[in-house]
Amino acid sequence: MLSRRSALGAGLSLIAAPFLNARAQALPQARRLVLFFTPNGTAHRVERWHPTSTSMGFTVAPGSILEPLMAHQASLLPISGLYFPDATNHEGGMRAMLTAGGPDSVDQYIAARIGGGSRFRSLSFGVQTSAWGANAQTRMSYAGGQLVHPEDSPANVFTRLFGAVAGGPTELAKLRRRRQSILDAVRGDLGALKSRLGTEQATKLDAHLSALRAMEIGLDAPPPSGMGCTTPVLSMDSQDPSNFPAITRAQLELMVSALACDMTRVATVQLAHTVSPLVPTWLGSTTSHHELSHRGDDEFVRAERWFSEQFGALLTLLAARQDPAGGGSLLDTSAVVWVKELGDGGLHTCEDVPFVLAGKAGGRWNPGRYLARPGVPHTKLLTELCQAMGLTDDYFHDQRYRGALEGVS
Amino acid sequence: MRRAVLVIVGSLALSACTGMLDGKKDPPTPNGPQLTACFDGTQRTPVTPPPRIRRLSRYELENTFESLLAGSGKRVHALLPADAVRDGYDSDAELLRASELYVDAVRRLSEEVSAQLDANTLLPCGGSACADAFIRDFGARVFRRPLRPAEVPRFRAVFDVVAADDGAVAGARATIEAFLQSPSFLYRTELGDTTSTLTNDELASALSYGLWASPPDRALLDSALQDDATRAEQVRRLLADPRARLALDHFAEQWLELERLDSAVRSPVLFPDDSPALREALRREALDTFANASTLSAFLTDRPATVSAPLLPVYGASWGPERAGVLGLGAILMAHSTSETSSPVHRGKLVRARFFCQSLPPPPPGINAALPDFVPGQSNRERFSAHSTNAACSGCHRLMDPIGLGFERFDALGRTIDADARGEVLDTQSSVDGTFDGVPELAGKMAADQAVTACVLSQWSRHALGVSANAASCGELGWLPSSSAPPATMRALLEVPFTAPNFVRRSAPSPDADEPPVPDAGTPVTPTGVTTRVRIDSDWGAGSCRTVFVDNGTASAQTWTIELSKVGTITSLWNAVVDDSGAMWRFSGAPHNVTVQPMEGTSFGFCVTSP
Repeated sequence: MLSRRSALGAGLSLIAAPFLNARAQALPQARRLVLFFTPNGTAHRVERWHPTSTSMGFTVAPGSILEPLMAHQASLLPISGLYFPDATNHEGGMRAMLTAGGPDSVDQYIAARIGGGSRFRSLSFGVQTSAWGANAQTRMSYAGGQLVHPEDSPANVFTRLFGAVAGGPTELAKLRRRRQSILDAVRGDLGALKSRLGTEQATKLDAHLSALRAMEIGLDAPPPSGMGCTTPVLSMDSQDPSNFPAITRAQLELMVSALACDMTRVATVQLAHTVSPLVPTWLGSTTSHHELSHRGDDEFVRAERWFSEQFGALLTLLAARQDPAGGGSLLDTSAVVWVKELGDGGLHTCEDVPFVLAGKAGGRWNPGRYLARPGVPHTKLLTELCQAMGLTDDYFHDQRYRGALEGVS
Repeated sequence: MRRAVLVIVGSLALSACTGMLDGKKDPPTPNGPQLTACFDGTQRTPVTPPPRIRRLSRYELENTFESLLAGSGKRVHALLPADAVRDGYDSDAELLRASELYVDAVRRLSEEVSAQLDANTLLPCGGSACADAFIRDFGARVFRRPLRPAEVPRFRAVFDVVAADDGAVAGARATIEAFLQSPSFLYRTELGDTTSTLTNDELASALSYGLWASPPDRALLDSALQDDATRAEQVRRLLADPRARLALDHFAEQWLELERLDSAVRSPVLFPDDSPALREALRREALDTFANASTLSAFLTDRPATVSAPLLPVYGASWGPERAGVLGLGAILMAHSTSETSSPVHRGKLVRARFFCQSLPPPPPGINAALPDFVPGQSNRERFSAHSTNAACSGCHRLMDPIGLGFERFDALGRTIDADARGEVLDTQSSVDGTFDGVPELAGKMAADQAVTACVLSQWSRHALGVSANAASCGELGWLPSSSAPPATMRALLEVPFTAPNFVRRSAPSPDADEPPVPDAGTPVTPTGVTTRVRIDSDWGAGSCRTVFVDNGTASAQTWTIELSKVGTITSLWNAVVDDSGAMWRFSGAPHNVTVQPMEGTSFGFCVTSP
C-alpha cells in the first residue's frame, strides 16, 4: 500500500485510514452524483488551465479558464494529470471518459445500483447534443453497451419531471388504473413479440421492457411537491445556436430542481459534444468551438471561461438549495464533477485531462485544494465516484487499476 | 502574417492513413472488390438476411403519426430523442432501440394524439357493443396487419377497465394509447413465417417504409408481394408516388450531408447574402435534383436550364462552365465549407466517402501542424500545402485535398470565384485515377465509373435496408444481387434492394405468429427436470419487479407450473397466470408459453408491493 502511494509521486498528502477497503466504509458518503460536461478539451498548450498549489490552497492566473470559478474556491478540487487508459482522440475520449471502455458509464453504473428508490434512477440533460443524431461522438453515457440519450428540450424535461396530473385521491386512483391497464397490454404485446424472436433479436427489446418497468414504478410516485418543485420554463427552440446560453441556464435550473425535490440521485448535464459544430455566437465568435480548440488561442480561452461560468452557475444553484434528505445544501451532499473528454484540445489527446471536483460529497471530499496526479489513470477517479456513492467497487471496469483516487478526502 | 495555428477542418485532419486505425472495430467498409462484384456478372449468391425486428426511426414515426392525425408528426420530432446513426443514416436496424426517455415520450405522444382523435368515428355506436370491432379496425390500421386472436382480448381489457370508470369513449381513447405504445406499432418485423418467407404484411411495411418512410396503403397490403414480378410492379408504383419524396429526400439529406446547412455559420462580413431563406432554397434545389434525376450520370453532370430567383445570389443568371451536376450545387458546396472559406478537406472527403465508399480514419492524436491563418482572398492551394509536404499529414490528406482543391472555383457560399481548380484523384481503385480540371471534368469521370454507381447503390441500400456497409455490398457478407451491368436509370438503381429475390427470404424460420389456443391441460404439476431462476430486476424498498426463468431440462415438452413463496402483493404479471389462493403463489404459463419444448426455456415477470 505504502509503496504504491509513494509511487504516485510527490505532493500527495497521506491520509489517515490505513486500508483502502476500510476507507469506503469509514468515510461519509455523497447522496447525489452530478456530472457536468463541456467538449473539446482545454488550452494546455498555452497553459491557461492549471492552477498553482499554495500552502493555503491554490491560485489561478488572471485570465485563465478556472478564474470565473474562484468565487467557489472553497468548494473546488481541480485535478490535473489524469489520463484515459487505452483511449485517445475525440471519439475515443468521449467513449472512455465515463466508461473506461466498459459497457456502462459511471453514472448509469451507479444509478443501476442505488437509483431504485428514486422516481428516476438517473436523469440526463443535454444542450444541443443531437443535431448529428446519437453516436459515439454525441453521447457520453452508456447502459449495457447502448447509448443513453439526454433530453435536449427544457420544455420536455419540465413535463416529464413536473407535469404530473393533479387531482383528488379518486381521480388519481382512476388514472393509476388506466395507466396500469395500458401498461399491461403494452407489456403483453411486447412479450408476445419477444417470444417469437431468437436470442439475438430478443435482446433488442430488453431496454424497452426495463423502460416499461421504470414507467410502472413511476405510476406510484407521488406528484412532486415542495418549494421550487415546479420551476416554469419558457418554451424556446432548443436547436437554435443563439439559444445555447438560455437553454443551458434552463437545464441547470431544472436539474437542480429535480435534485432538490429528491426525484433522482444521479444527474448529468452535457453541453454540446465532442467536435460539435457549436459556434459561440453569443461571445462574438464566427468559428466553431472545435476549430477554436485547435487554435488554442484567446478566443478559445474566452469560450472555455464561458463554460467555466456555467459550471459556477451550477454550483451557485446547488449551494442555494437544501438537500431534501438533510445534511446541508445540495453542494454539501453531492459529488459534483466537471468532466472533459480530452486534455489539450488541439492535440486531441486523452492525457492530462482536466477534472474539477466540487462539493463536499457528504463530507467525504476535502475541497479547496488542487491535486496534481500526473500519470494516474482516470479510472481511479471513476472508482472514487462509485465509492463516494456508497458502492464498494475496488476498480471501475478496468481491473488493472485498483483503488480509488487518493488524496481527494 | 503567419502564426502558429492549427488547421483542422471539421473532424478531419492529419493521418498517416496506412491502414485500419483499430482492428477491434467493425470490419473495413466496402472497397473496390466488394462493390465491383455488383456489376461484373459474377455468379454469386447474396446473403439471405436473418430474421429481425426494426424499430421505426423517429422520422418514420413522424410520418406514421402524421398519417394518423395531421399535425402530429412535428410533435414526434419535438418529443422523441434523436436516433442513433451509423454512416450518417438513422435507420440502422441494430442501433434503433428503446430507452426510458423514448418510452416516456411515446406515452406522452400517445396521450396527446389519442385525445385529439375523433372518438365518435372510431366508436360509431358510442358504447361497448362495438368495442371489439373498433379494436380490430384501429388495431389493424396501426399494426399494419390484422389483429391476431389473442390480441383482441388484450386490448379489450384496457377498454373495459377504463370504460367502467369513465365511459366508453374514455375506454376507446385509453385503448388507442395502448396501441400507440405497443411494440407491434413501434417496431416492424421481418421475421418471416415457418417457411422462412416474409409474410405479405411484413413485405408491405418493408416496401412502404423503405420507399415512402411511411406506413403501407391498402393497395400494397392487398398485393401478393412474395411474387417477384408483383413486388417489382409495386416498387415502381411506390417510387412514382409523391410520397416517395419522404424517403428520397430523407436519404439524400443524410447521404449528401445536407444537415450541415443547419449548423453552418457564415461570417456576415464576408457573406452578407447568406440567410435562412437562401439556405432553404439551396436545400430544396438539391433534394429536387436528386429526386428528379433520370440517371445517375445526369445527377452527376446535368446543368439546370434556368436559375430560380432565390438562387441568383449564388449562381448569377445561369450556371457558368465551371459548374456541373450535384457537385456544383450551392447546397453541397456550402455544406462542405468553413465559416470563412471553402474546405478542400470536406469536399474531398465527401467525394471519397460518399461517392467512392472509401472511409477515412479520424485524425491521429498528438500531431500539431501549423498552417497559416485564413486571409480573405488567399489561395487555399497555398494554405494547404503543408498537408502535402508534411509526411505526417500527407498520408491521409493526399486522399482528400487533391480532390477538394478541384472545387476551388467555389467559395463558402457556393459562388463562383477566380481560383486555380486543378484537381487530382489518386488511389481510388477506380478508373478515375488521374488529374482533372474543375468539377465538370471530375463529374464526367465519376459518371463513367461503375465504382461510383456501385457506391451510390450501397449508400441507398444502407439507408433503405437499415444495414451496415458490409451488408449493403456485393461482397461475401453482401445482401445485394450481382448483375452484368449497372442499372440504366436512377429509378432502376433505387429498385435494386427491393426487387432482389432474397428480399423476401430469411435465413431461419420463425414461430407461427398466431399464438396457440389455450390448451386443456387439466391440473398441471411441476414436471421433474424443469428448473427455475428468479432475477430481481429492480427493488425500490416498497416493492420490486422480478423475472422468473423456467428452463425445461428434460427430453420432452413440458407444461409447467411453479410455486414461489409470497413476497408481497402482485400488482402486475406478464407471460404467466397466478393462483394466489394457497400459501404459495402457483404460476403457470400464459397461452403462448404454457408448454416449453425440450431443452428450451421461457420466462415470465411480475411486480409486487412489499407487505
